[in-house]
Amino acid sequence: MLAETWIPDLSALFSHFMAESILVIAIPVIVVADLLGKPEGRDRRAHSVALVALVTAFLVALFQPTGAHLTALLRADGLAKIFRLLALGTGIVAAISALRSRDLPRAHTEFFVLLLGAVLGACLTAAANDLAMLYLSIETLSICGYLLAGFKKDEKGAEAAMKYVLFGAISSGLMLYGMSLLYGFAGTAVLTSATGPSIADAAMRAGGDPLFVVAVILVFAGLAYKVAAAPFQFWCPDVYEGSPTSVAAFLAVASKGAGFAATLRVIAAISGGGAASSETIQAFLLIAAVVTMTVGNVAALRQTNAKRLLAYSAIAHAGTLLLGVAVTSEAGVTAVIFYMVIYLFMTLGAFYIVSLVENETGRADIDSFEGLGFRAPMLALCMGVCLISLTGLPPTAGFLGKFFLFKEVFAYAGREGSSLFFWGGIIGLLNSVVALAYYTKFLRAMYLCDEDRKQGTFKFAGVDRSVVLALTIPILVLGILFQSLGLIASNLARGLF
Amino acid sequence: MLLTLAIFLPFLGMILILRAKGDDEKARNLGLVFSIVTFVLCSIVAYKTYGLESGKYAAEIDVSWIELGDSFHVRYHIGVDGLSGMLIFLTGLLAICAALASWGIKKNVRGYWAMFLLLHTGVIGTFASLDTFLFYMFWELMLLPMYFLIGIWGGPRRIYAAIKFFLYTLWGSVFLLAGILVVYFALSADKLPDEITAKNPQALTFSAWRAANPDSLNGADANVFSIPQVTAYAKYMVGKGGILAAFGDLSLFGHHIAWWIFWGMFIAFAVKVPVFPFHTWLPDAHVEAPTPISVILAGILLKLGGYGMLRLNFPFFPQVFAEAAFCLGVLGVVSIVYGALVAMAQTDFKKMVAYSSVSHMGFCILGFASLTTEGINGAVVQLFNHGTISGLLFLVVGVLYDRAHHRDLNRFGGVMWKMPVYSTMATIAIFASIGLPGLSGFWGEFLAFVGSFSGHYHHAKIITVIATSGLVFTAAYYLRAIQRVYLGKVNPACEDFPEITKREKWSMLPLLVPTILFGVYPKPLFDMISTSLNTLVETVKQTGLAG
Repeated sequence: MLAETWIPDLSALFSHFMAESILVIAIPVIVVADLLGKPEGRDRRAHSVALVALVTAFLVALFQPTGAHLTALLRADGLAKIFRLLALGTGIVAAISALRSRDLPRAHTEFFVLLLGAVLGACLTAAANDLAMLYLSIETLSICGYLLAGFKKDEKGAEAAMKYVLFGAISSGLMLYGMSLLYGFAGTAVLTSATGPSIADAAMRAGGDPLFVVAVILVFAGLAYKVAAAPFQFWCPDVYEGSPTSVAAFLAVASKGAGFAATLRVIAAISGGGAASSETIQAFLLIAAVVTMTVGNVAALRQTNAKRLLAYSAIAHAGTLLLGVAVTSEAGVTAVIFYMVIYLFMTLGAFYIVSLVENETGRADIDSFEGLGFRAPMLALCMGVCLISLTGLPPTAGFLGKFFLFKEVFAYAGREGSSLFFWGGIIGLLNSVVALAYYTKFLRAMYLCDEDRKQGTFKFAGVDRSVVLALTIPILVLGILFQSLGLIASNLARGLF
Repeated sequence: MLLTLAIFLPFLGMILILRAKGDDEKARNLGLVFSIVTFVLCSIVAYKTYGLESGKYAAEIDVSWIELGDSFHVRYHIGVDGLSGMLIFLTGLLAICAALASWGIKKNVRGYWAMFLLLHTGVIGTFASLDTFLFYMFWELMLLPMYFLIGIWGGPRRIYAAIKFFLYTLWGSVFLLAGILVVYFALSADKLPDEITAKNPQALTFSAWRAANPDSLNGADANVFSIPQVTAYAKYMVGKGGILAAFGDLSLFGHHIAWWIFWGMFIAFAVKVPVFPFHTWLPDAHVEAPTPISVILAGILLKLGGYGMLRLNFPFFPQVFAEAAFCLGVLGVVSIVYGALVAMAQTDFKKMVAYSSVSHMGFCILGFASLTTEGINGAVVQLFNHGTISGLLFLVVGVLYDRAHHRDLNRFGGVMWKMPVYSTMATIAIFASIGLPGLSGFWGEFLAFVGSFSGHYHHAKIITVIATSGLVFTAAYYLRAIQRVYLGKVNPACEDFPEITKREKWSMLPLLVPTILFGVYPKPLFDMISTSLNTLVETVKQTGLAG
């Protein structure tokens, strides 16, 4: 292992962060290509460059080595790898969807520049091992996100962007304050370090110091905003509704994923050595998780707009994932990674189909899904698979995601004799019943509608078909054959605690 | 292999039907052919369970499916003993009857048959599973096809009924999942808490117990998801802390965690049975479902509840089960009497039959609660016989509905004179349901009462006496139904009812034969189940609460 320094071996650093480097290069290329080429093909050109960059970066990231501690600022471990892949994968789907969707009248060059910027921010957030680095990458992600959210340039889009900015500013402020307190405790902004001082050491020294707990919770406040956890979830439905569907999908998966990666890294640092404060923080996280999922699920019951409904469902899933974070063990992280991968497929699949329906009908209400099961059987079937998976029913992968998460929650309850975790697990499981009640609204609209809504055809292109199948088939396959994903997840989680 | 085929053949049929584009007739024929082949396979599998020793399984397959880490070993482990064999046979039998009764479905035929067959994959898979994880997967797999079958092909309030069924069942299943997870954790613990080992020096962790008994259970490796292994371990741990010994004395609100998990699992199965007060989904689902789906719902899906209790709930927690006998007895008697009284108040024929199911499934719970050999055997025979009889009764109602397009008991009369063959069959079915000796409904109720009367919980005798009043109410509403529908002056509206068709007759005959046959000669049924229930009875005896 190389010694940890501030100025690392650049060639080694490049080899571990090649995916990010590709994105960094692609951004100016898009801008230059936009200026040099003919004005007619601008959008398509920008789209092609962005897509090529994202796909290349994804393939490179798949084979990028892990494990080396190259610099105190960034980690290239399994956690960074998987969340980078998630961000890039989401970026690819969002880019494909953006060019094809009608809610972006012209998929501007800027859109793709911002999308690449946001993906870059998400990748770096997952790798950041230093509070300053973490803050900068989150802001990169967020600022690109603010602009993307308002891209529709209508009233709802403006409201979405404004809400996103205001909430973002408040939670960034809280997070920054927490970070400054942590820096005060540790004398360094590095989260974990093999050689020098770190926040992990400070956590051991601080014991159960309430101020330390407050500092950590303030940092989590900022991250809770990114993952849309209560009480920082208020922006979520309005932003998802007002922003282009591709952006909503990006926020729901990549942005949330980056938030979770950072949360895991912070919690691993402060509770890795069994610090005294960790139990309080775990209890706090558990309660936040249960409240988040209950709020998300109950509020989703009354929604009639598909995007708003999916926003509340995304909040609920953030709560479920937080349960796994609250366990703070390697097995817990494995479960979170496992869930996150499955979450990517099912959420992107659902959003993609919503955007197709929106393109066709011009609306994103659940009513506009009526009769889809007869007008476009394949599409409806795929939507059904995504929804069943989101609910967490076998034989889809969503069930396994839930199974592994709750397994860890109950294991923790048993190991530590914690009735808090036991009841947390029970309430969490009961939440999936509530979830079923609103996900079946789609099933009901698609299949259980009046005869006259079943007529007519529903047009969508071959590319859409391929993307939808590529997103839903893994849900079914992973529902039965999940061994390799489980092993990969546990390999990636290794060494975090 | 045979069993795997029985499980997945309907699934294959589903795929073939979905590929038969636009050809409704082909879909119907395929559906019927696959139902018949499934029935044949189910019968062979069931026949193989004859003469099995206790704790052995026929058609057993045990292969690795997923292995993660040290303790998470899910296996594709299936097999049948007498209990599951009998219910798998019932499933195959009802599949044919329901398939024949499905000819009237005209709306979106391919979709209907696809869901119909998928449902059977779920049901047979659940009965055959010997791995808790697999069990849960099949258990949940049934929900979706049922939701669509009620929701698309049902009556006027079908959407409400479908979602109510779905939510109710999932609500229960959640506790089953929690139970499976808690058991999984407790059994993979590597050390028991000191307070347990101090009190019971013989208490062993699951893996230590497996290591100490390497030759039992075919020498399979320790597997926390294996139903036979957990059952055997639970038997060993009776009086030594139970299978959740790893949790020590962890109590929540004054009850040990095993108590919570037992009742949680009980709710999961009680919703399916259904036991009062979890029965409210049933009348809605039955009334709205099309006839063949009502047949399957009453004939098979309700049995899954009772089966789940016998397979997971009671054997895993024998101590709590024995202690809970009084509560179970009360739940049973309330279901019997309440179901019968509500059935008496119905004017809708189908709703009356639906409530009679609540009442008759109460006998199963009453039989379980007795903790005696007679009671439990009677309850299981009741599972089978109620399956055939209630299936028959829903077909009876369906035939009538197809002609009259209503089910109001007060708007019929004298059907006997217009449709003598049908009415004879209907009358036999109704008398079987009343529990007339000589017909199959008698044995389950009779033994449940015999067992229950000698039950060892408080007031067992009083509870049994109250339960017998259910018989009187049952006779009252059924006899009144016969009188109003079949006897008396011919109602002008029934004047032009044609006699039942060949197809309708054939859909009822496979159920009518066992109703009479097992009424006169029930021995084959008892032979089949008694060995597989022995383990449970012995385990319960060890608790010292069953006399």
